[in-house]
Amino acid sequence: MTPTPGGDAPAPVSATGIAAAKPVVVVDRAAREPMRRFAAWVALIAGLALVPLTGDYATGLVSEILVFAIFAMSLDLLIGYTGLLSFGHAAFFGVSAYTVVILGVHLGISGWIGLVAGIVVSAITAAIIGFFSIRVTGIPFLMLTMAFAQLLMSVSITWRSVTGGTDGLSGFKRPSLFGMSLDDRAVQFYVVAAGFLFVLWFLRRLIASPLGSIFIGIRENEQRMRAAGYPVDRFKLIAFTLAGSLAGIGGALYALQNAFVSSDILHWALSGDAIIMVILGGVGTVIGPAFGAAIFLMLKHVVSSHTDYWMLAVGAIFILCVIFLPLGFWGVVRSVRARLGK
Amino acid sequence: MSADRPPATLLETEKLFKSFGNLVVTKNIDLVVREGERHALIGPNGAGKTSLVHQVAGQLRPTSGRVLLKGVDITGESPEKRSQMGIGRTFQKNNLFRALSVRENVRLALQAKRAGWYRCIQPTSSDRRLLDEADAILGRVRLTEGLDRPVSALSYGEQRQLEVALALASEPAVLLLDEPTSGMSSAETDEMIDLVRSLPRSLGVLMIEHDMKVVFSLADTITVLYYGEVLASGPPEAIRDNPQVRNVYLGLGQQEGTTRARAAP
Repeated sequence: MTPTPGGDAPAPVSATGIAAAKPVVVVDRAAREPMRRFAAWVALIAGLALVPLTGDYATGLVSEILVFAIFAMSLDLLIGYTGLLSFGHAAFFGVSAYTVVILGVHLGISGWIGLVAGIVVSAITAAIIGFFSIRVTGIPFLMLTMAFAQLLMSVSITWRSVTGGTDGLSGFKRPSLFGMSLDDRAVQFYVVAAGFLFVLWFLRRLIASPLGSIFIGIRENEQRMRAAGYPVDRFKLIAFTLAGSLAGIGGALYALQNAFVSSDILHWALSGDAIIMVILGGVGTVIGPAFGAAIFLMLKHVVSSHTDYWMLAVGAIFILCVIFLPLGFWGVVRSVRARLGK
Repeated sequence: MSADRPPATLLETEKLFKSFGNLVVTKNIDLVVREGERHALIGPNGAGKTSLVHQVAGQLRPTSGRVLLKGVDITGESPEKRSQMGIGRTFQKNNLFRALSVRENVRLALQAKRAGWYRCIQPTSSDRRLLDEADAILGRVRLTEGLDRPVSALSYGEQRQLEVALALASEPAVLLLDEPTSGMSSAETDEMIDLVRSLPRSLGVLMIEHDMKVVFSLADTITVLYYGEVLASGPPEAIRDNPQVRNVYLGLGQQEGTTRARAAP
């Protein structure tokens, strides 16, 4: 950081020296920052635009990664930014996916309307589950959120006539966009990528905003937030509902991509996967969980083609990550960037 | 209006009683803080001072009795509601947003009473006015340098100052200071005395303090607690001369009371 003058005696000289030097640095960095951010966005969008050229298999994999990236990033809003360890995040992802497919299969409603409906339904579900869950903290919160998600899963298993039970519900007809059907892998991919970019953009803005600062304050010191006059429970509910809605975007895109949904999507294991993705990628970072999703799913695809015990590899990497890289993949990227320094 | 009318009552406790099982921590405490008053709460460790402040600010619920703010019963209100209604407090142990910058700590506390928290797209850095206000409050507690440092980089004394800044940021009518000078050097203590003196006169201050120098240079009312009960309450001279108080607390002279307080965390 900026050196401070050691004593009071030489203050006039060094003070003016620093005063003259400092603004130059500040202006330079302040001017460069938006440029760098803009360049990063352009690179990301260009990179995503080129993905369909790599063939159907890779496109499908990246598409799946982006869907689960949305899911994991939305969970990190709770875990990493608000300090709420939810173990039932699959509920919102799953409810949204079910909404899209059920509306499409049973009522013939377009997937686009289904997408909106799915997000709305997951927002409502999150508001209800959140209303009850945020009354407790810590392990009870974790158990309660998990129990609610399991409750929804058992509904999806038993209500066969609507959900198809464990066999799942197929026969969903993908909608089309400007005359191009989503049955086309590339079109599908671009829709998913657009959703991913939106969630990424929104979360980045949210975290830097007044509302985001309240979430971070709750994570840092709930008691002090109350003493400052914040109705903490209300803001926890807002965070929970927002995170549920964003997970709903992921779930709806999952449905559009797979045209199929089964009760696995509401299983607690999926909530657990999302937590692993968040931790692998970097808790309390916006983009980190997206990398976590990429690492997790690539491991799954690569290792599972050799052995059924792919979870063993994921587990080992997860343990090593927790012990040696508590800030995850993105934490490593950050510290390397800081070391290369300006 | 006559000029000699007594200043309005801001805070009042009525027969405030709190027990944990058989342990009674506050026993029917009646206490009044008026506008402009500097009210010191003293007493040996375990006398129930912090429990009393917790009950006034809402972190603890009394077993019986009432807390009134400007005549309104707030006994059943949550800490956040009481803060909104005008009770600001500091904590005995620094209770800050440790990972956040000094400026962000105060900005966040200020934001609580402002509209616009629901904005989720514009960055906080775009609200220059709020940041300027935060800097002004930090200036009042004499924190002017390195405001972008995280709290964890501050010295202990600076963290105490920030603790007061956070309480001021909630724009209280009544300010509760829980041992504001605990663990401070003598120079830092003098600064804290100046700081409390410089607070607006409209504010009522209730202050737990062990350092008798601080108490006698600031307070215009002193309440002595002893095992959860009010032993004596009145102007400093009366408390100083009260034989009972001298016996149980001031006992062997000022130094003893001060050193004991310093030794305690």
